[in-house]
Amino acid sequence: MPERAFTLIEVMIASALGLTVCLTAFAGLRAAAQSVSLAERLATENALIRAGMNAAYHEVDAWRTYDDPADATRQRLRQYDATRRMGLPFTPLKTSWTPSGWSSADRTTWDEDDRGWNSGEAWSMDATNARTWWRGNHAERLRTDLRYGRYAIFSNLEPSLNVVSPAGDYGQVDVAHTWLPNQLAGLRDALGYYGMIDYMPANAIYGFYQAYSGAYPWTSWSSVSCEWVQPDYDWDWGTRRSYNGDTFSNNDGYTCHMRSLYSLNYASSYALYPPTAANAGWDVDLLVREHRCQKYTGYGSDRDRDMLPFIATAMTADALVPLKPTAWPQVKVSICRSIKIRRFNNLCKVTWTSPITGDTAELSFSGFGTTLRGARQDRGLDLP
Amino acid sequence: MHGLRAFTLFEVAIALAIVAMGVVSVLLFLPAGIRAQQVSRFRLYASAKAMDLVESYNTSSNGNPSIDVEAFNPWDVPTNYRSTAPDLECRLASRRFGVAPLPLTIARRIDSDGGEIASILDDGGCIYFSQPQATTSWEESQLPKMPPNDVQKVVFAVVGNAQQDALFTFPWKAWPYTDAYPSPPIFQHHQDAFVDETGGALAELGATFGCYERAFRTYLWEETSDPDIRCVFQHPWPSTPALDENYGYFPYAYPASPYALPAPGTDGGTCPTGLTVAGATRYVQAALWYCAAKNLGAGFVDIATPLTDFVGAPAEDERWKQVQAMRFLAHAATCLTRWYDKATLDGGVVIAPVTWDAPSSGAPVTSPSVTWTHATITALHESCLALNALYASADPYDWGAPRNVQRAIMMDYPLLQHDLFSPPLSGPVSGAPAITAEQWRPIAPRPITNLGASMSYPRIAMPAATWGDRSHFNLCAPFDASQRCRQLVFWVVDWQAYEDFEIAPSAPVDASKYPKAAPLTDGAGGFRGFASLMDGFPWLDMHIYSYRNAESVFSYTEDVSMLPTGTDIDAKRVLNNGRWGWTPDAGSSPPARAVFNGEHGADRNFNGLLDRGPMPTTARMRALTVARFNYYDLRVPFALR
Repeated sequence: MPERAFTLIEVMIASALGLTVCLTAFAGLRAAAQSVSLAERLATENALIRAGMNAAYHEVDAWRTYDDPADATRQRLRQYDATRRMGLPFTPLKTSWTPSGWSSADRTTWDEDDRGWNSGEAWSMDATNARTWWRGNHAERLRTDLRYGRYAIFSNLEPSLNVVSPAGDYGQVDVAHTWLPNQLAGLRDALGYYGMIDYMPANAIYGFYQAYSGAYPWTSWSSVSCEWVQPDYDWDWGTRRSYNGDTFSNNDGYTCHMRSLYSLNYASSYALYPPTAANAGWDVDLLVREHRCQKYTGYGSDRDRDMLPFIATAMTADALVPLKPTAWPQVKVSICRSIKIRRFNNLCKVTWTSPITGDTAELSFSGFGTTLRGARQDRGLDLP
Repeated sequence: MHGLRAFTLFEVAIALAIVAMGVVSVLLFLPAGIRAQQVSRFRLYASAKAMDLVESYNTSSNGNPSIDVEAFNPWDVPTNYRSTAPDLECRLASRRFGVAPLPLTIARRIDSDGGEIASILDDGGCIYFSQPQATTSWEESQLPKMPPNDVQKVVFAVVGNAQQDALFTFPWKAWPYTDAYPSPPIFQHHQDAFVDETGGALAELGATFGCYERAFRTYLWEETSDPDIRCVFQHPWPSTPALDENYGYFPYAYPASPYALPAPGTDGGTCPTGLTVAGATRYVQAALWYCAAKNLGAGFVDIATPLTDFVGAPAEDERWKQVQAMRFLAHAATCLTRWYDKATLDGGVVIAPVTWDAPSSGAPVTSPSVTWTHATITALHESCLALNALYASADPYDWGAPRNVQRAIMMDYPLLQHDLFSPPLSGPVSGAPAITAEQWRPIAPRPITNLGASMSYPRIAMPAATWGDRSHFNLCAPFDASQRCRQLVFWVVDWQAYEDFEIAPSAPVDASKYPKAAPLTDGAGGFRGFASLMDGFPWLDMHIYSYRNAESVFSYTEDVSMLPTGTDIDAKRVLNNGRWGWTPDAGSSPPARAVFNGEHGADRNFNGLLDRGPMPTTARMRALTVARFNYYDLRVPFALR
């Protein structure tokens, strides 16, 4: 039986069809590979962003960038300046503020001479607890002729003092109320400004009377520490000037009186300073000073002079996965904790950089988590 | 035997077509994986934004300290409207908190599943976008430029009806008033003379003296609640030319006669000289006289140990008298420590009695003679704080004495709401009397005692028939969780691809976002016109968080629609201007109104450049729903600490 081969035209058509099949298959496979690659890249990026978000939320709650309880080399904010007798936000209170006058077993009897932090006292809630009442002359500014009298005799840092002033001397008095001024001073010295505000109740008025001083540390004529009322006050014996901030009181129209957090804080921020590249060289001396400083971040601030240095020193930027495959994007997680307009703001940022294009994108959000006080209690740092 | 037969060419072609269809079908599925990852990305953005919104909603400051909050008609102040409602979209759709409504012209071009976006817009709601970064309350114009991101493609809305909210402030009188304890009678600075109901300026209620560059008038507000307080402030009134015949706080603290205007520009901390111990003593005598006028004797004014309770168990609505009397007395007594040292005081300082007719009754009242020591003064101070703590803690609905600013707590604030089930109040709009406004009547859970007059309009009493039906009060009523649940819905849509995304006008701005002044006299027997009220006070950018266009920080100050794409428009944005100087969106002029309303558009990606997308305005887009989150809806103005 004779066999018939393909005709030329059949071979040509068959070849063309075969080629079409091969090309289609190749294009399909190539597109599939690219799609899978892109989807995988997106999935990896999403997973890393998600991990970054979770890391940020966890950090807001756990504070480990600021103080790692499991790693003694990452506890920079536990240091203590023995010369100034000042601590940092994570300095144990048993180091920085020795309690006296009460014991942990006695949490019901409150006396004016109690000193140190007693976590068992609901002192901001109890209207009948007279030692928590702020006593002072609200109308008194930095410059005063004492026309409304001497409020230093009602409440004072010192239980007994000779009340003197360039406006005239009063004499030796025993002061009935010393607990609240000492709480404020104790928290300031133990923790710095952010920590002090974190521990004080929301309606606190910042300021107290102490023995008059016409030299460092200065007081007003009415014996209010100038630290609370004078915006350019030098609390640190001539070395005050932080490179972009002032001390406790901002220059709110140079009002210069003792006040609460809103007016102290609507133009500026109190912040915490975790380890960052910009502050890597800070020693305990500078850390103590920077944690007793407010930075201009509101009206009147300047991007280059104020905002950029502030962000560089107060915002972390930690790689989420330091040792990553080269194909993965570089993801960084940043946290900045500050107080502005009396809001405790935990600014979080997740930043990722494409390994292919080098483009950087960013997701920023605020987080809600444990307070500094909660983080310290979690670490047992408030135990007497 | 059958011959072997191959596929025909036709069969092969069919087979290939089937294979091709299969391959194409598989290829069509591949982008779905990419799309799923993209949706996943936007879900991440949405979840971060939801957390950010709810955190900011609950913790950001809700104060607006530069706003007029009192008027004698509730519609004449921009409070208790949407601008101050404690609802998430009202709180956060603010230039300070980084959320703004999507321009309506753009939002109307966006389709969504079930027509949800169109339905929200039809109901008067908004679709919102957010600034590229989280809210920090830092000065926006000084923030570093952000790396590009596509978070702004995520838009959102709040669905579910908000509950009726508590009043942000009581518009007739923004209670609680707070004052330091102890302190002298409250006297109030006011730029203009106080007015009566017609707008006519009344005779001054107190002294006038200067402050900074303006001659502010100063009024003794507290005598409106008790005329006897005038004697603590100044007796006699009008004052006599001889200083030593004038008693009370003011002649002591400002001892010039007649009270002279300090030179313009004088720092408020500089005071006249001439303080004397005799002046301080006369202040003490005036305070003691007030105690006598309130029938408070030696057991109140001459004490060695602090009072821990009210003397004589007064009725609840009479307690304010002891609170006020001790507030003035402790303040005056402490002034003596400026003049006497402790040793002298311990020897006893005698304060002689005085006899004057009481303004409240016309009957003569004689102050007690007392001999005070250092211990007495400290006991009076302690008593002052103790009585106020008792008074303020017991009843936020008695307004007879100011609250203690040293211990301001949320319980000082009375719960007030509008009565939606009684006929509203109505009346003319100040400055535009031909226009009639309406507002719901206020209700409180219990009667307000010692309501008094406001500081801003002390001569205009709140009409007795103002209040609504108390049985309609429900702020304290039990509720189900579902009643306080609202939902954030997030969509993703590339609305910045529109060619007009930065020149489309802002979404309509709620009228209550305009920080209009309360009624002011025109100085000619009437009220200022509405346009004048729109310029009634300086706009302090840092103190009016809930006001102005939510886009105002990045909105344009002029028409930029003719500028080429990519133009640097950094200097053409409102930014944080609006303190004492240039305030491009304030006032009644057409250019200012255009800026306020965002008619020129806004730098919505906040990159300082004029951008245009590739999409024509005639094209429609479809938004993809990416996430929904439930949250708790507040009824009361509130901020977590």
